[in-house]
Amino acid sequence: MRTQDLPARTEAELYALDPDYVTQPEGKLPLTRTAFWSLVALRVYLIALIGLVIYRFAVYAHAG
Amino acid sequence: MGVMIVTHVDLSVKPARGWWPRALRVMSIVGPGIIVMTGDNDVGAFALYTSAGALYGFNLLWVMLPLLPITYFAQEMVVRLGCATGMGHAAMIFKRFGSFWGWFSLGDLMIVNFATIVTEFIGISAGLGFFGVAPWLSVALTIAFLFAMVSTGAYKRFETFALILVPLNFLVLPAVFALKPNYAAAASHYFHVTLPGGLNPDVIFLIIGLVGTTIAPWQIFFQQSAIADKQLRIRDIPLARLDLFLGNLVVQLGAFALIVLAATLYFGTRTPLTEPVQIATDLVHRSGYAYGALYAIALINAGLIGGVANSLANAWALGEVADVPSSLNRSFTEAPLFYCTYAGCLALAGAIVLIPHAPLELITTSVQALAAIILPVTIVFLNLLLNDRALLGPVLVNKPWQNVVNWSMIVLLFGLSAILAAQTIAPDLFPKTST
Repeated sequence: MRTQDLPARTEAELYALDPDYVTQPEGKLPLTRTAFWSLVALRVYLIALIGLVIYRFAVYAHAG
Repeated sequence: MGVMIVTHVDLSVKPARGWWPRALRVMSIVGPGIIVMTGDNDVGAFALYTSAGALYGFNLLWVMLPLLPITYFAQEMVVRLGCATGMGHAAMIFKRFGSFWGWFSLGDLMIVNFATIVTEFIGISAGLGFFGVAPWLSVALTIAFLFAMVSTGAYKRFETFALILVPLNFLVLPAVFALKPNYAAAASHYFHVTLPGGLNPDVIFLIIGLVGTTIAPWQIFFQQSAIADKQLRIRDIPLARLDLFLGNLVVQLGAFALIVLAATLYFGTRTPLTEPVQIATDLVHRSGYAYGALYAIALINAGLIGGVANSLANAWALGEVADVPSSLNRSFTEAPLFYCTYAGCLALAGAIVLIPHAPLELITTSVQALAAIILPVTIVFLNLLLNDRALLGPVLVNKPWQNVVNWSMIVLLFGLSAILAAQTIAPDLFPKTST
């Protein structure tokens, strides 16, 4: 039996059982195609923003 | 990676009875939450809170109130994840999302944390400069002190050391009391939303900064790794939540005091506030040397806690990803990558501060912008992990109401970062209005 499958329905019951750390599931978290491409879009957005902040920093630093 | 079988389910453990055993148990759990939240009131936060007070008086105090539940809910997910898995956040992202997303997350963290450590050194140098200490000496002393903090070979000793620094956060309070601010007006503004001068870009960006400095990506990584290093377990979650809540109160009180202090000193006057340490000098003239000195010590302390927390977050994360020993319970020879990363962050950041004519204030502002940008993405991954039923099981996985709260928070944070992005691309996008 895995830790996360212990017969506890509430947090109080779970704490009373005092289980060890949860057992790591095999493999990666399954991501739907939508979730995957949303994360890719977020990443592109983030890289663009970081680039903009660095650009602004360079412009202001150069201007003194 | 195979599925392991649980070998330890001790049914004989009963909750402690009587106030003394309970108090001892609370004290044994309390630590990561208070430290992470006190680290939140770092040098960047000092700069931002005091700017908000100096420019807008008590008018932006209300921003802090909604940040109490937002910060709590974000970090509470970290508590559950850390106590349930016994692993750091970087390790969790690599295991559950793979190395592609893992390296991106680690890269974000390392860049922002490193830049934040630079700002901590800026504040410490300024604070020690108040006492006449030369910048090179303040950098050397800071590196020595921060390395001593983590080199005891035991997480518990580090934690005790850090908890001793926590009360120093409140050394700004005597200066606030000495100025005799209008407490009733301040309390009223804490509970009432006001937008001075309307929704103009200056106010929006100050609000973004306040949000970005109160919940930062490093906090998520630091707290989970600290919980793992402390070896807190599933049954410790309730007290770890209490620890986090106490930490949130520390942040609120610290932020409230700094905004009120700067508002009372500068708002409505012709004296502009250009840097946080200026307050120490102005307090000397207004209230006496002791008050200025106490404020400078609080600023130095903010930099020390922020510096140790950010450097540790980097060291833990890199060690977890490299799958090598990365624990404060290990010695230098047992965890060389962990301690070298920690020391390397400090040494490099200290060196940058000593570069002549380095744009230190610009660095501080840019770091806050970077943290605000990266934060929503970090919370998206955190929320996805908290919805991982295979990992956490039915009891610890996010409840529907928690998802509503968390996704609302993510949408809000993205909205704020989008405004920041729009203004960065087109600085004249929003019309300026006088305040």
